[in-house]
Amino acid sequence: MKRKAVAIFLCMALLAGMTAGCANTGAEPEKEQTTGTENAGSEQESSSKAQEESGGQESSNLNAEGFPIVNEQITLTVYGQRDQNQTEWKNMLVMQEYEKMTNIHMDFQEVPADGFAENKQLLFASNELPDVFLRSAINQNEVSTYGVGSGQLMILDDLIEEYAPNLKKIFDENPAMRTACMAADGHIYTIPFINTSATGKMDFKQWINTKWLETLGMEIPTTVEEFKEVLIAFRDEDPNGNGEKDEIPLGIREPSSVYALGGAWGLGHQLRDTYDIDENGQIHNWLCDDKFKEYLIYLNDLYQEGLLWQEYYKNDRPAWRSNLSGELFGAMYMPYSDVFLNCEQDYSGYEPLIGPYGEKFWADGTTGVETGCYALSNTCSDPAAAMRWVDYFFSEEGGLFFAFGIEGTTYTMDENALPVFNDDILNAEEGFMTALGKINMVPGGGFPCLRVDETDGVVASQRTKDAAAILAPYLPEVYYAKPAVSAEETDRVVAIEQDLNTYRDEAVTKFIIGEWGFDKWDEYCQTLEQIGIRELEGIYQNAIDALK
Amino acid sequence: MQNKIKKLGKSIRKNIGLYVMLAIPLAWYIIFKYIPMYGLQIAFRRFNPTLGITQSPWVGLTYFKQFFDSYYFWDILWNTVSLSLFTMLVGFPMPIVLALIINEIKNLKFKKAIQNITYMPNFLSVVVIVSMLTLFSNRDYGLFNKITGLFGCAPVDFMSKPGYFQPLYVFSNVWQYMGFNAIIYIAALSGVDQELYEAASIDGATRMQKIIHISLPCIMSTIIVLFIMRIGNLMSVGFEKVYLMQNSVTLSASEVISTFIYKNGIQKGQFSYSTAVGMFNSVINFILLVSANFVSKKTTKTGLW
Amino acid sequence: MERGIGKNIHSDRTFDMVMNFLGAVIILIVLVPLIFVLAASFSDPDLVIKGKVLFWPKGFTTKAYTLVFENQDIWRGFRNTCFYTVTGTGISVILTILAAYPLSRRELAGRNLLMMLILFTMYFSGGMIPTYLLVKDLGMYNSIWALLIPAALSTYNLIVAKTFFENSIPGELYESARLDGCGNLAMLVRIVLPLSKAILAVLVLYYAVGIWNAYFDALIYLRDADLHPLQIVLRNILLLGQTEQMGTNDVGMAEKIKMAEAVKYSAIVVSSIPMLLIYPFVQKYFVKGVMIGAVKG
Repeated sequence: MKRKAVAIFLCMALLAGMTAGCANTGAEPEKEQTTGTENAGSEQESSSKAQEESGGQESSNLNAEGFPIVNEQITLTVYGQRDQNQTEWKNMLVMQEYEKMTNIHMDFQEVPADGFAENKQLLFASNELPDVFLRSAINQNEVSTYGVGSGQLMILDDLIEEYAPNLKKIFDENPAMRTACMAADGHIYTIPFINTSATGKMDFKQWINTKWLETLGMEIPTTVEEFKEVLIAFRDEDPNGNGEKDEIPLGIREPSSVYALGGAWGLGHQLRDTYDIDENGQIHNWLCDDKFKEYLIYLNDLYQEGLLWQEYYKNDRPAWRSNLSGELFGAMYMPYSDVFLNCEQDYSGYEPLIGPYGEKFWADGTTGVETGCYALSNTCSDPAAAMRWVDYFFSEEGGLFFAFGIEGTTYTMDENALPVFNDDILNAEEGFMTALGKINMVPGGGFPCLRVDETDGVVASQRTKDAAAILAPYLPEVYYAKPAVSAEETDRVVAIEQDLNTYRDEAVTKFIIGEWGFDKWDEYCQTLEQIGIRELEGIYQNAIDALK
Repeated sequence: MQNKIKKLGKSIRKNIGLYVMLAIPLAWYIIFKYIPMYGLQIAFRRFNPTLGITQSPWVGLTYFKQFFDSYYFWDILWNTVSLSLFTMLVGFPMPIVLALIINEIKNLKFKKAIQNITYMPNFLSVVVIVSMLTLFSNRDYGLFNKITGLFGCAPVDFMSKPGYFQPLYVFSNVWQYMGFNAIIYIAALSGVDQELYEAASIDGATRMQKIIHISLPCIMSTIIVLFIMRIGNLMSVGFEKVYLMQNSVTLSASEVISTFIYKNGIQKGQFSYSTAVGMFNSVINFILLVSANFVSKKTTKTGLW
Repeated sequence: MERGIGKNIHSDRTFDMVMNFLGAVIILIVLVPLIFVLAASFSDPDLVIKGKVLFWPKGFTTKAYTLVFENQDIWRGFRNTCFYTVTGTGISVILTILAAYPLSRRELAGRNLLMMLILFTMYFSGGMIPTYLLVKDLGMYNSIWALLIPAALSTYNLIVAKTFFENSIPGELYESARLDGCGNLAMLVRIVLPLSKAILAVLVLYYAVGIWNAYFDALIYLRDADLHPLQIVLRNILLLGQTEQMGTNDVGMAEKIKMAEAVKYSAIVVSSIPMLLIYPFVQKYFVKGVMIGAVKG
């Protein structure tokens, strides 16, 4: 009886295999034909061929410069992620206006942020692609897989050369920005968001509660020791004067932001991760370095003393925000001050702290380039027009149009020739960000455009700009983005980083909150080696060397 | 042999209507269950969407090896098995106990009340359950801490302590499904011949003895069938609830195979890798099912087939 | 013997008390969280956050409910979910009966093999991509059908229904019906179904609850927010702090979170009530219906 059962199951398994065989011989080939196998093998030639073809076809319709971009209206399908604060894209003021200007109708098929990651992967897997990917957060690994690997994303080098004069100009002036956009094969697959404003040169700015300092008669700290003294005073001397010890001296928001202070220990933040790069271009992951250990010992001390927010490791943003709106934080790290809400005027930026080795360094730099914001599929019906469509946003005029809308209707120029939103938007009942989300895609970010100092005001307050200006001189001279690696190595990178990051987050948290003693340090380093921290370093090193 | 075939043909002709009815659901099974199975082969291929499932390059067991070599392999395996065993150990007997208690309660209104009230949580969605857990675990105003506070315990945020992840998961599961799962046993108990109890009373058996010697044996076959099915799912922990309950702090205790597959496969697009992991999972489940059924047949003569 | 009975009556009484006590404890354990949610939903959110609310609303207000009912997303989700639940349950129950009834007939040649084939799918599936490709190829992507058809049958429910038919419809009934010249379909409609109200109730309840609470398929197959069921909307509101949202930066999140905090409890209540309400209607048949294995073996 049992044997029979097993036998039957085996038969079924075989049967399943057979039906499988039949099914795919029937269904597969047509799919491949429609989506162009020819692109997969030698994507480079074929996509440039596609460009030529489309360029030839559209030449009568496409205008080389100025508006409209096409004489006869064309439609492009667009896939992307809609942020919660954004209205439907087709109803967005800037998008509607731009359609009139360009004569290009964008058929927006945006997906809500919830479930977007899943949806995007399945979209690529099914290989039924839209013409354009907008705000799709295509990361370097995806560029390797879907661009270099499967050829589903189009190579944009020639298109940029020919149809994107504004972007080309930026790239020519800032070769590092071009490199930041390159995939492992040296080609560009995605158009970035470029931020050349002063506030965009770094992510986190540091803030301290000057009102409390004043109450206590203390100066802004300059070294990490002084910093600790200030934090102790915040803790003990009731600076907010409500008689309760509810102050939280150092409000670090979440586990991933504990590295913000690391610059004082000389811990860089290259590749937007835990890396240093020396002058020879040698990269090094400092997770096992002694200086990192010392930094952790410092943080552990702050935590044990009750100076560091005791619940920072829970990723509980609502709690963090409610503390912030109650003005309970003494010092903290934030990219922009718009979330300070009611107490912005009490916080200000200050210079980097001097570390134990006398270093004064703000590590949290960025390339000013956020890649993966815009891409074309290999089946894009009109790549030239699509490229011209996006390029306008990289001109100063276009960047202003995107961020602020239409002069007179949504904004006016103030006495310093800086744009200012109208009152009904700034003080909208539904909230500024929701109101802004009806105009453009600034809430949520990730739109391919140029942001300069002039248009920075859309998200950065004057206080943010000041805080950034104070830190700017102490940024690293050269800043590298995480390089793209080849499709085969992507598998390794994803596998290692998955384990490494999980372990790092867990271990670092345990060291700081004291669940692990520092006698575990060696074991921690060994584990990192075992997971493959050096192999990963090697892969990135090769990728960076290849870019030169 | 020929006779057999003739008989078969005759019986099919006689019941042709049944086969017609069956055709629709069977077609569904073939289309939605069997046809997609061809996709399992991507576990052995480096999936490339432009080449399609059948044309992607063959890489053999690479992805299985990658999983076994992964630093977290043993952790994930252990989390999956231990969470599942824990759930089974607590979650499996509770409905039986509940059914026995309900069966013993004499007051009909009270009996009805217990039944109806314990069903209620079953209707709540996972999303709702997890958000309730989060709200209740809050250090400052959560229900759990108010209760433990009554006993003088210091407040703890239960959702962010790896040590509490499994108990929270398991006991909230019991809370949610206990009543509903007891229905089966209540139904079985109601089918027990009342004369057996009367005969036992005459022999001077206590109520407890009656439970042990009459009620339990009578629902034993139900218990065994459900138990075997449960074993066959040992390696699959309900994905949605774990995923929604996870946070980076409890990951060391809460990452299980299904969430691992989801994060790597669906969110990061490592389809081949995640299919390999999933296949590993199914095979183990299947082996467990077949062996549990085998053991049960041998020892108790009850089985799924 | 006499003494024995006396002692038994005494211990019986203790036993009754213990059982009643246990029953009461269980009721309490189940009810406390539910009452807390209900009380909190009618309370001033500030008092809830300060931990002042336990089993009775403090600072009674229906503002949270007003907010929920004013939320267009929730309404739309509600309407969609109602539609999916009603249609989906209908489709699922019909398909299940069509499969379970023939498979319950002992004279059906090959039924064991078919049953094995069906059971097999409980353990092995093609995984997400092939299924996704299939749904796309069938043109169901981003349509209501993606939620109704691919997950229409549950093998577990099929087994429950099949077992019920096997055990509660006597074989003689089929025989006599056949002698009356009844076809198989007629038998199903005229004889089997009227005797199977219990199992219909069970299937309706199982499927309805499943569809009402599902969100995963919607997440994957529905691009259009207008089609999203309630659970997706809820997930957004209730678990906003937890789910890391890719590519979403901090700008503008503060406003959303404030609103979410205020409506959490009332959203839970509103979304759960409908399912709690259908139970009493099918409850009458319910215990009778769940007979899997009960008579087997």
